Order: sequence, then structure tokens, then C-alpha cells
Amino acid sequence: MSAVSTVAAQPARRRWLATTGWPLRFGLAGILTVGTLAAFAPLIAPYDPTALGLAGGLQPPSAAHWFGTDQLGRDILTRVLYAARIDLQIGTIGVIIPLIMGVVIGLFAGYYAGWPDAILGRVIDVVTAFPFLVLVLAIVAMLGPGLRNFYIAISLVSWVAYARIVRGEALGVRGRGYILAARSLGYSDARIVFRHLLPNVIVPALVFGMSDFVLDILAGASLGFFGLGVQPPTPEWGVMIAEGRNFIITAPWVVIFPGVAIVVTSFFVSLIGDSVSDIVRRIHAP
Amino acid sequence: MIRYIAGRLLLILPVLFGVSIVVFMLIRLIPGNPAIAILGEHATPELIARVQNQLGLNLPIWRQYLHFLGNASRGDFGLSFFYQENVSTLTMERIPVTLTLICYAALIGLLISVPFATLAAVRRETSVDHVIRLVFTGTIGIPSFWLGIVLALLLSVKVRLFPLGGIGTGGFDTVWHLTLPALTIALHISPILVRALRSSLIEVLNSDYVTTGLAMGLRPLTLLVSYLLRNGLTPFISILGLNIGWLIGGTIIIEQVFGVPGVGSLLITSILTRDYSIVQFVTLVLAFLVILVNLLTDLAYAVLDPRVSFQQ
Amino acid sequence: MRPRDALRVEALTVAFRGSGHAVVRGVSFEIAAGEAFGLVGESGSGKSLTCRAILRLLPRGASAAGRVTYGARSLLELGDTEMQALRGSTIAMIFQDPMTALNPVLRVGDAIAQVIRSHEGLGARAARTRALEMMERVGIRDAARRAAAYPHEFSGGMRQRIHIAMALAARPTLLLADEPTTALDVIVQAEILRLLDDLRREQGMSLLLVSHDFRVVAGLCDRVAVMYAGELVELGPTRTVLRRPEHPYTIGLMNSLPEAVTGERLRAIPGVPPDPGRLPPGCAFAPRCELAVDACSAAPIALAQTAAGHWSRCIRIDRLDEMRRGLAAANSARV
Repeated sequence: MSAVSTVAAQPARRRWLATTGWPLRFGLAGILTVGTLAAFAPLIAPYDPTALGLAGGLQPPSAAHWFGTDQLGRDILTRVLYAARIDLQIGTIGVIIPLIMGVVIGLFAGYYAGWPDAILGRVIDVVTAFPFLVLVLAIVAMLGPGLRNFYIAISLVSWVAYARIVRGEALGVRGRGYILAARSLGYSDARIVFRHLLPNVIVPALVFGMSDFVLDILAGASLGFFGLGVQPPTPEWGVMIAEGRNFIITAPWVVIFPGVAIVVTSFFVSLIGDSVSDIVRRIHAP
Repeated sequence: MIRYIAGRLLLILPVLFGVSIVVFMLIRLIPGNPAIAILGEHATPELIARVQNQLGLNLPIWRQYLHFLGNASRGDFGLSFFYQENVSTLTMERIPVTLTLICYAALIGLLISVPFATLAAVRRETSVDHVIRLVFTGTIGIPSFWLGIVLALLLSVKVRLFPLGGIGTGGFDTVWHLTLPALTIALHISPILVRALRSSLIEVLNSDYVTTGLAMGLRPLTLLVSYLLRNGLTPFISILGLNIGWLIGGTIIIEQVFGVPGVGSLLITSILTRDYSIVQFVTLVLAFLVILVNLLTDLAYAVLDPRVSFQQ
Repeated sequence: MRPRDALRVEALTVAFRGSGHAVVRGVSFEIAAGEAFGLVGESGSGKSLTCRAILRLLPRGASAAGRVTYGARSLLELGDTEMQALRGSTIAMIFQDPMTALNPVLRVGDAIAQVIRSHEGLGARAARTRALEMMERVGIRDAARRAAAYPHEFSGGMRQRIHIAMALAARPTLLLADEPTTALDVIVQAEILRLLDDLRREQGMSLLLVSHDFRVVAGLCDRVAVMYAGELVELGPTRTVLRRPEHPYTIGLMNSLPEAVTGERLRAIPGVPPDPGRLPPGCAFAPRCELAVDACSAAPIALAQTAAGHWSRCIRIDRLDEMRRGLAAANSARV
């Protein structure tokens, strides 16, 4: 009976893919918009992000200042746009570096199995025993605040998640026919790992990368909020929220807009991540 | 059962050691001389030498580690440079508050997640399901500190429903004070809980035994409780355990935002004041907490699922 | 004793919403009160879905059309509450895989008692007593002690017995058995089939037995129907169908039964079952049939009566003698 339902469902699946791409399309459109706005911020922002306002601070949203001004009279829309550049960078670099590190280490450990894999397994166990944010905070505490140290901390902690995913897949795949065939042909290990193993195991890592992107932005904003990440006066969404915190009762817009920016950006990326993982799942297990 | 626990403890021993090594290495990350970093640039050479001795920085690494372990076994993790108190006592007296907050948040989180996840699972692929999933996908991206501030504004200031920060005077008053922080943390973790529980429930719904239950004409309530929830909640418990790190992370932030005197706010404050010994110890404690929670969820799984025996 | 009714299936069609293809196409048959009826076909023929459609237990995305009546009740039109009351108490169903059919976190005694209590207003203790009785009736010795065990502590055959106990606990008058022995080994198969037969006679129950194996059906059923690509191709009393099959596919099925005794090679039917989306307008078996002519695929062929109570959907029955002779030769070669 299951054979029947699989056969009967296949054309349905193709139709499904066509009609329910909406979250994916919306997410892609959204993140592209955010990315473009961020990239062209210097050109499209109405003001200078550090320009102190002459008319006084904490002006509510108006025609002149769509998002209002903060306590120093700086235009919030401008600062949100400039901050987008920092936060998107945080998300991107925070994913790319650990991804490369983790995938390479995980691939080789999974491919060789044996003791390299055993060691990696132990390392993964130890690092994942720490709550992510705690370990990042601790490393930043030691190295000192700032964006560069934040990247170092994230890299030291995040690579483990990617290594774990890739290592699991590699362990599963290393015994398959095409790998054994490649080895019997005398290909070098590196070639096998990168040209035969990698393409087959990279997808779950990329899918995870999308939720990691969101995680990194939240971590970056949280550290910025506590003064441990990006340092003022550089605009960053978390920093902006911290700066506006004291005025939240009289001038909530100072806090609302940067927060909405984080929520919206994360939402777009999450939509993409969810859609992709759904598609991957449907391909592998109808 | 005792043997099971003992067996599990043996397995995590290497992890405990690994954790202690990582924590030990943290201070060595400090660029330059840690002693100067702690004392500031104006410190006298004698003071620097004294701190160096105290931290054992002159010895070879492995001896420092043994020194560290030795002290640790006595509960001595050094002195806080700012509170001038024993680091371990200082931290441990704040643990109960943090644990209370975590449990409270987990409870509220469950109360929010279970109904929505069940609804989404039972009505999967319909618009109800899509809306629920969409809403919770959006919620993942809400920064916890921002959510805390906004909720505090709405529910503490505009509408004086909850007190603003602190832990009150004990008993019911404390619970009242902790409600807004716990609610914030719960909202922070519920998207993950909903997603995991929904998956778990859908897997159960697709299972053969649920079809059997339907075919036998069991009453809907019986099906829901004995077939659906009883099977769907169990893997969910291990998922809850897996995400304890996320829960702790949220708790740290919220403690600081709401001024709850727990371990999390201690961590943040200590980072800002460069009180490295506290940072080190709190990190250690929180890692141990994660390991403990994972052990407990393993145990709970063994108890709840009759297929898992204790003769591992 | 509940009144015994007849099951009447009329032009039952099951299709999947996504593809729109019908995997059960206009199936009609009747099961008289107390009768044992067999439904034979390969996997993909739609026999399991037919069974499930009767109790409205179709998988997601599948819907049924047509008319199914049990006595005076029209099953496809009942409301959800009435359907739930009917299942288990009037019409019960057992499934193929005993390893996954039972709730793993419930003690088996409790699982059976739950079925009883869902349909009859018995208290916990009375339900438990009945559950123990059922367990003993299906052949589980030491029922009182075994009732406290969990499904994973039983073998496949025992689990299937528990499954049967659950299905019959509320004393239904019709049992739908969807390949109940397929996942079991041969010896256990025979035991379970015998159990089903005994229980059926004892309770005066009607039985719909679905299988891909003719032998399973042959021993138990009064009448048998053969299904191919969603349609019934032959229907008649078991003895006559076995002795004088009136459809090439039926003959093919019988030919392909493995016979361990003579060690003869399997004579499989050439080709593969058709894709439900790409069926020819006429006989679905024509592409694989050695007797097929153009007229077979041109237009739909109706079931025609070839003898009393014996129906076939084949226009080439006059040429079947040769095929039957081949079958008889093979049969006599078997011990």
C-alpha cells in the first residue's frame, strides 16, 4: 500500500513545490532587500549616522526623521541602515568562518574514522557542554570587548556544530560504493574528501548555517547591548537598543526600530532556512 | 537503576575533565599578563608578583592545572577581586535564584508550547498549522533583551501588572517578581519547543499504532492522552534537555535586564568589571548544569519509555 | 448478540487528492453475515486501501467515493462520532505489522481494556477481567501475569494475537484483516489463521481477509475476489476459483506460488504492475497478458458472470483452457 501512495504522490509533490514556494520567495526577497539597503546605506541614508542633531534629541517619527531621533539628535533611520551593515556582517562572517573550520575538520575526522574521529567526538562533547552564549561571553571576557574578539569567540565555539553535522554524514557515507571506488583508483585522500565526500554532506551544514546566521546576529546584538561587542559610537542594533533603553518610556521609538530590524532580518533568514530544510527533507523522505 | 546512573556518570567523566581544562585555559586567553589585566596598568610590581603567584602563573602549565584541580576539589576557586569574597560561595548563593527562574521559565514555556504544537500537529498542513509555524518562526528572531525591555514597558510601566525587577521578599512575592522575567525567557525558547514538539507529535500521528487506536474506535480523549501525548512528549523531553543551553543563555540575558540577582547577572557584571575568577567559575558551574540536565533527561527517558531498559 | 449484517460495497473508488488518480476503481462486492471473504492481489493493487476505506481509515490525502453499507448504515456518510462508536464495536480491523501496530507505552492488558471501556460502560475491574479473558481466548497463557507486560516483550506472533484480542474485545460482527500474517513466519502464520477461523465461527463474525498469498485465503474463505490495478478481475466461491480460474491474472498468481517441496522455479508474471496514472482504457492486465488482443485494451470490460456466482472481467475466457492445463500440470507435479 505504501508503494501505491508513493507512486501516486510523486506528481503531487512536484505541484506542491510550485505552489508553496511562498515562504522561500518571501524570505529571499526580504533578505535581498535588507542586504541591498545595507549595502547602499551611505548613498540612501538621509543623514550622517554620527551627526548630532541641532534641534535637540528624542524627536518622535516625523517627515524629516522617519524613525525619529535618539537622545543625541542622531537620525534613527540612518543609524538603523548603517547598523544593518554591521549586523549582516556579523551574521555572515559568524557563519562562514566556523562553517569552513567545522566542515573541514568534520570531513577529515569522519573520513578517517578511527582515532581522529574519536578525538573530535570528545572535543564536541566538551564544547557542547557549555551553553553557547556562556562560552562566547567567557572568551570575550578574557580577550576584551570589540567586534574582532567577538568573531574569534564565535569561531572558537561555533565550528563544533558544523563539525558534528558533517562528521556524522561523512561517517555514514565513507563506506559507500563511490568512495571505495575512488580509493581503489588511488585518488589522494584530500581529493576524495573534497570532490566526492563534500558535495554529498554539505547540504545539512548549509541548512544549519541559516539558523546559525540568526543565532549569531542575536548573540552579536546581545553582546552589543551589554557593551561587550561592537563599541559605540559605531551603530549596531543591539548597541542602539542599549543606548535608548533609558528613554524607553518617553521615546520608545529609539528602542523599537532597531529591535524590529533584528526581528525582521531574522525572520527572513529563518523563512529561507525552514523552506530549504523542508525541501531537503521531502527529497530524502517522501 | 543505581547501576545505570553510575554507568552514565562514568561516561561523562572525560567530559567533566575536558570542561575543567577549557575553563582552566580561559584565563590563559587573556592577552598579555593576566595579572596586569586584572590589576590595571598602575599596579606595583610587588602586587603583580603576588597576583601571579596567587594565580600560579609562574608554574608550567600542567602544574598549574593540577594546582587548579587541587583547589577545585577543596571548593576553592579563588577570590573575587571586587567583592573580596570566596568566588564559590559568592556564586553558589545565587544559584537557587537562577534555578528557580529556569524552572519557572521552562514551565511557562511548556504551557505555551504544548497547546500550540498539538494544534499544529493535529491540523498539520492546514492553514492553522502554517500560521502557527509562521508566527513561531518569526518569534525566534526576537532578541531576548529587547523583548524583556518591551514587555517591561508594557506590563510593568504602562500597565502596572508586574513589579519591575528584583526578586521581592520571598515566597509568593518572589514568584510575582520573577513572572515577567520567566515569561520573557519562555517566549524566547517557545519557538524551539513548538517546532520540536510538533515534529515529535507528527511522527506519532503517522505511526501504525495510532491507526490501530483509531481502528479500535477508542474515545478521542483516550487516543489523545494514551496514544498521542504519552508517546509524543517523551522524545520532547530529551529535546528540552538538548536546548538547555539556549534556555540558560536567555536566562543570563534576562537576569541582567531585569536585575534578578542570579548567576547570570553575576556573570555579566563580572565581565564588565574584569573579575576573571568569577567568570571562570560561573562558566564552569553552568557547564556542569548542562551536563547534569542531560543526565536527568536521559534518566527521565529511561523511566518514561518502557522500551529503554536499565540494563545498559 | 448483536444482529448480524451484510457488508455491501458498491462502486468504491479511492483516489489521492494530489494526483487525482484512482487507485481503487469501482470495486463492488458483498459479504453476507457470517461469511468469510478473501481479497487477493499484489502490493499496489489497492486491496489494502479497499479495506481501509470501509472503516474510513484512509491515509492523508486519500478520499473515497461510492457506497458502503453495513446493514442499514451507510458507512461513508456517517459522522465522526458515529464512526468512532462503530469501529471496534461493530466492525473491527487488524493490520499487517504486529511490530508497530501496538502502542509501545501501554501495558497490553490496559490496551485491550481501553477498547472495551471505549465502547461499553464497564468499570475498570470488569474491563480488565474481560481483557484477560480475551487474551486467553487468543492463546496467551498466563494472561494475568502477561497483561502487565509491554508489547516489546512479546514475539511477533504473540503481538499479533494481542492485536486480534484488541480488535475482538468489543465483540464486533465484521472483522477486516489486512494481511494479518504477512509479517509472520510460516508456522506462526498457520496458527494465526487457525485462530482467526476459530474465533470467527465462535462469534458468528463475518471476515474480510486481504492477502497477496492465495494459500492464506484458500484455507479460510468461502468466497474470494482477485484484484488487479484497482479493479476486481475475478470473483467467486473459493473452490471454483481455485479449480477453474477464469482470468489470466488469477492463473498467473497461482503459477507464481513458490513451492518448497518440488523446488520448482517460480513462474513469475512477466512485466510490472501498471502506474495508476497511466492505465489503458480497457483491461489493465492486457499489457502483460499472453492472451491479449486489441479488443482487450480498447474499451473498459465489465465483470461478467461465467457460472453461478462466478464473475470474471476477461473476454478471452474461451482461450483459458490451455493456460489452465499448464497450471494443472504444474499442480500435479507438486506433491
